[in-house]
Amino acid sequence: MNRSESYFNRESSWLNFNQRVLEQAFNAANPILERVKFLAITASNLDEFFMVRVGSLSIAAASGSNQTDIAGLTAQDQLKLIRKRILEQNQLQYGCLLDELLPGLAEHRIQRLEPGQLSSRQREYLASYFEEEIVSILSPIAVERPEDFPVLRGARMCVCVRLGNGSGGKLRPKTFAGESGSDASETGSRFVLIPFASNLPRIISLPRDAGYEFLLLEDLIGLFLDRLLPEQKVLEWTPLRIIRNADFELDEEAGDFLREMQQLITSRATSDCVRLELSEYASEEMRKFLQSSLAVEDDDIYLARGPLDLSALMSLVGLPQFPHLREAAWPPVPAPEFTSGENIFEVVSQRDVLLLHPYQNYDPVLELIQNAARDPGVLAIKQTLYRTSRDSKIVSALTDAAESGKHVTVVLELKARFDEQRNINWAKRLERAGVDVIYGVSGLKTHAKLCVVVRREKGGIKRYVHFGTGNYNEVTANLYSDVSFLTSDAQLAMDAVHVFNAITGLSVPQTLEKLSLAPINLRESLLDLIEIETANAEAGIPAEIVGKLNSLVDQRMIDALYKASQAGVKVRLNIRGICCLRPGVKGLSENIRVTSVVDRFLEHSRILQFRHGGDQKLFIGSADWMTRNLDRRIELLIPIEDPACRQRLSDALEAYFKDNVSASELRSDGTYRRVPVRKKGEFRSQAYLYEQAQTLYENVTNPRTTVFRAHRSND
Amino acid sequence: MNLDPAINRTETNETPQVVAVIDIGASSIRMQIAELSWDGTVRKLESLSQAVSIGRDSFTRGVISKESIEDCVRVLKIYRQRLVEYGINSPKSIRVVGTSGVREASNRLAFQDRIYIATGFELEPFDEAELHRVTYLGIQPFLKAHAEYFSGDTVVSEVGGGTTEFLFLNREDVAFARTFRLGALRLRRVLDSYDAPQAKTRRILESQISQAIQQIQHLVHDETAAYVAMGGDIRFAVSQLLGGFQSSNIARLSVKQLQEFTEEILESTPDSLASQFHLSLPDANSLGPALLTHAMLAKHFHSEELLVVNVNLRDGLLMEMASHGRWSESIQSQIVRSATLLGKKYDFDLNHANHTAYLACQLFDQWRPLHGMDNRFQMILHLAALLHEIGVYVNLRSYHKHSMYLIQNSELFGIGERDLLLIGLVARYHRRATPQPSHEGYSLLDRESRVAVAKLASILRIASALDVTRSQRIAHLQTRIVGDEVQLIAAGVSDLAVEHLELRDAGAMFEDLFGCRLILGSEETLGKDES
Repeated sequence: MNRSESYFNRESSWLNFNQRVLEQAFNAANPILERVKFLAITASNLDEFFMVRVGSLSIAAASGSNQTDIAGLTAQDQLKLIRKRILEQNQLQYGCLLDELLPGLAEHRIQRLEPGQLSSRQREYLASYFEEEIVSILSPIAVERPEDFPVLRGARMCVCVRLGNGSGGKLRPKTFAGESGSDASETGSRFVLIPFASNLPRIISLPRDAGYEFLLLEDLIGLFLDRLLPEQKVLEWTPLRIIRNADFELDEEAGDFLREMQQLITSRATSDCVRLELSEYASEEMRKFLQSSLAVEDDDIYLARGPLDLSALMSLVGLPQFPHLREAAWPPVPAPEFTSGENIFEVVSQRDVLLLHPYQNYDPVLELIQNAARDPGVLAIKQTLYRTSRDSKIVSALTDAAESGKHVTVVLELKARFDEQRNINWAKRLERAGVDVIYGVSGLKTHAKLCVVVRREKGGIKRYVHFGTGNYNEVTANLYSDVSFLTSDAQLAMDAVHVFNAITGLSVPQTLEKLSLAPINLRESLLDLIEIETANAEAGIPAEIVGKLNSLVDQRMIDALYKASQAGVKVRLNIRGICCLRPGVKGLSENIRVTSVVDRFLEHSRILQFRHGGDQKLFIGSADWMTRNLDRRIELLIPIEDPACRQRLSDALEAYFKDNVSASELRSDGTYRRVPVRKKGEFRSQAYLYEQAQTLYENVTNPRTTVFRAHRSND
Repeated sequence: MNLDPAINRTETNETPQVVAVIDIGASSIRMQIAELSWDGTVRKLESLSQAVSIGRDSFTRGVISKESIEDCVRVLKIYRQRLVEYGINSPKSIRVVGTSGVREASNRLAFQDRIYIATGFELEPFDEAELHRVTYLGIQPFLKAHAEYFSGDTVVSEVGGGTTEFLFLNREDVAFARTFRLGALRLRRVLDSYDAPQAKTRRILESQISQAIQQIQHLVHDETAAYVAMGGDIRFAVSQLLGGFQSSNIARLSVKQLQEFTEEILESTPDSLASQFHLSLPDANSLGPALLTHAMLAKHFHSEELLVVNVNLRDGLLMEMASHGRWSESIQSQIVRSATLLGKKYDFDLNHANHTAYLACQLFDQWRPLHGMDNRFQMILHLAALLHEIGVYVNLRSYHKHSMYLIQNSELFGIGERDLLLIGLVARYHRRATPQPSHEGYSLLDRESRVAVAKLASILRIASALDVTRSQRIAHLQTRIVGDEVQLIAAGVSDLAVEHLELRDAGAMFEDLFGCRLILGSEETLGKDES
């Protein structure tokens, strides 16, 4: 069997994932603003895809590389494939927007207006708005000679205006890099670029009597071009947007690490352009001008039949007057273990706690760190940070802790793509507070999510550990599904401390008794677990692997699963995004079934279950099964041994496979098919998990209990 | 792992004490942080290790290079930081020992000083005898718990970086202990110096190890019943071949299995071992040579299997710390046994020696409020009391000086050089001159030790005087302290005239030192001590 028959191409698989998100935008069962949200997400997903994936493939193709991917495709092959798929996807996006969503929104009194539809009152309003708010911020740049073309920022909207010759009046703009009257282009046209400033809103709310009406910023500019460029003859204007390659390698040996990071962030601003989007109504002359100025190939140009940058639609989703157009809020529920008024240390000493976010709130994790900061018995806090929120409460708690004399060590991964600047800022703030900040490990990204609190108690030193599948970000904790595990198990705690010592360079890695650590033995541990199932199946013992991951790309892992399937192991996988494994192929993967859930919360948790001859093993982890995670990152695999936690986790894992509302199944031809509702009725995994969280909480706080808990003065 | 239940604890239910032991070895510095509870249990909290290259320098050139010293300083500073985090500050909570790589370096004092200046850590004198004691302590619990394995002769061998240590046991007792300059790192250095191809590795190592084994030929008398193997390398082999230790912390590995595994290991280079097994480079370097050494030794001792115990030097040191300076009964009995054998070699008066020791220990116990010394000094006194007269073997004249010389130059199980000196000095000062600055040995001591020697010697004089009749007639003693009078009540006798006479001289040092008057009386004259 050749490679293309055994594996799917990664980019293609990702585009399928984006397709599934797009399908939610098409799904009439979703409230309309939710559909708008999904559409916006497909657009921002594609932006990032271009920045990172297309960027890296372009570099590979340009260097003439003949390397092939897991499915046997070269970089060139993949770029061709991507182009074709994206052109299709773009068509669908605009079809969805223009044919379904905009009309649907209009029915609900949310209306996008074109300039011709404005009322005179609105025009007046816009005129003064333009003068007061917009004019002073925009800096049109005239391009008379090719070298005048400015460096445009990636992912930022821009308007390009083509001016006719004649009427010689000086251009109003502030920057004017040429003499008036000199020839700009062969055809005598001159161009002006008007980049949008980042602090200007793309969607401009209009005064109206009822409902909501808005105008897009580019239309506003188009409306008042004469004020911006007085006495100029405007022949046409078009919105445009570029995406630049953001896939860079950091030179970690180059001395000042922090400075290198800063340089990397700045150099993103001037890297090659990998995509140029512009309106399909732009003239050929306009297109040629932009193409040559930006040095883009034909294949990098994407023409849109509607507004560019659909991610901007996200700001419509939260419009306060329209709650009926969104799904009902599911506010995270408190975990039942924390309702008795005991402090977190007391609770976790007595039992391990499993939290399923965002169904259950993130408070206990914050409390662990906040309490640690205040508790006089706490000696030290050790934490990894990969991505955090903008006003991170966790960072505040850590600085508080350091200022109150605790020994705080933070491994702050500066190489978290796109969050580098934020993390650099945090690093400086933490250091000022006295925290020992480690910027990550050379050559490896610290992706493990781990927090250890060391506390001196009457009975001796005790350590409390938080393991998570998601980042220490209290904002995304309410948007992504993730698992948190809190424990005071002495062996897990000692392993966790040894992991920190290894990451922070204090010690050579010590033998870990329970945890597995990438890049040391995580892959091996996983392969051993799969191998055991395979051997069991060969020996006639029932064998099963159930897994939930975000991506499955690594060839060795896929091959191990194929081998397991061939031996008779039942493999069920829930892979949210990219899956290069081909399920259901005779002789290869008959026993493997792959599904994917795309729903209101982004699936992010990683859970694994192995039958292990009856002595079932259950794990949570920080790693997806991609080569970079298993070999080039610091990742953890954590065994869950507490019976109550296991029960709950196993049950949650099962729920994903029962989902028939938001789930799709991957077929052996690479397409996904919605899992249909059958006799048993609808089962929506995310709804089920939310209900479960509510039930657990209610069972504990139900007032109709027969045992009364009195408050005494010494509580 | 618990200690003998015979350990006497005075405090109960206190918060466990957090302590650390640091072992500066030939190729790495390892630290173990642990909690010691009042009942002697050791609970491990965290272990750290980093590679250094002390052995590489001192085994080849006999000197630790400046680079290596600074490297050690760097590592120890890091460890110090971690101790600060736990709040471990007191020197009493930290033990830092250096093993053969440090010991053999001619600049070890400079090394010690540099460490102290840079990090505040005091490197403990820790010679081979001390190592034997700690090793024995570490395997003690296994001897008890698995007595079925140790019914005859046992050889315990630990293959380290620079040396291999042997303890020969006869059931639970130490017959003798030896250290040989045969170590995994040394062997690796030899291999590197040959620059031979991979295929020849085994042959070269075998010849080196055989040469070393020649030296211990004469030590093997009968067939040994058991071969106990210790060391990180053999523990690694157990984890690979047997999946690890069970909760009993002892494993049985067949020599055949070990030999096969060793073959495999020797076929790979250290680099590939490091990546295959996730070992640090020093560990990968020592693995092959160490395993081969064990395999060949086991074969030499006619064993078909090795008993591997999951305990290391740091565990032993922690166990010692858990007993707060008082050695366990079993260690004490080994030491006393060793001293007794030594005394017999010199034809001493066994009964007088034993009785003097017995009385001296009683006095030490009862006079704690006066002298304030800890348990380690009791053992020193005990041994000095046992051996104070062995110098008679050489010459009756100035025999106390001969006793000192003999003690210092003999081997006592578990007693290192530093303590041998103290024992020798206490024995020397049990008669005639009191300590003078001009006296050899005494002048080199630090203040605490000098004062201790004086105090102990003064007590020994009294104990010896009380058995001047050599009839062991004073069965036992009681003390009553009234103001500046120390009343000693002797039980079992009424006429103490001879002893009184003796004490006039013998007690003078004590009276001067402690600023009190010593009164000896019987139960009739002084009355029984009611308190």
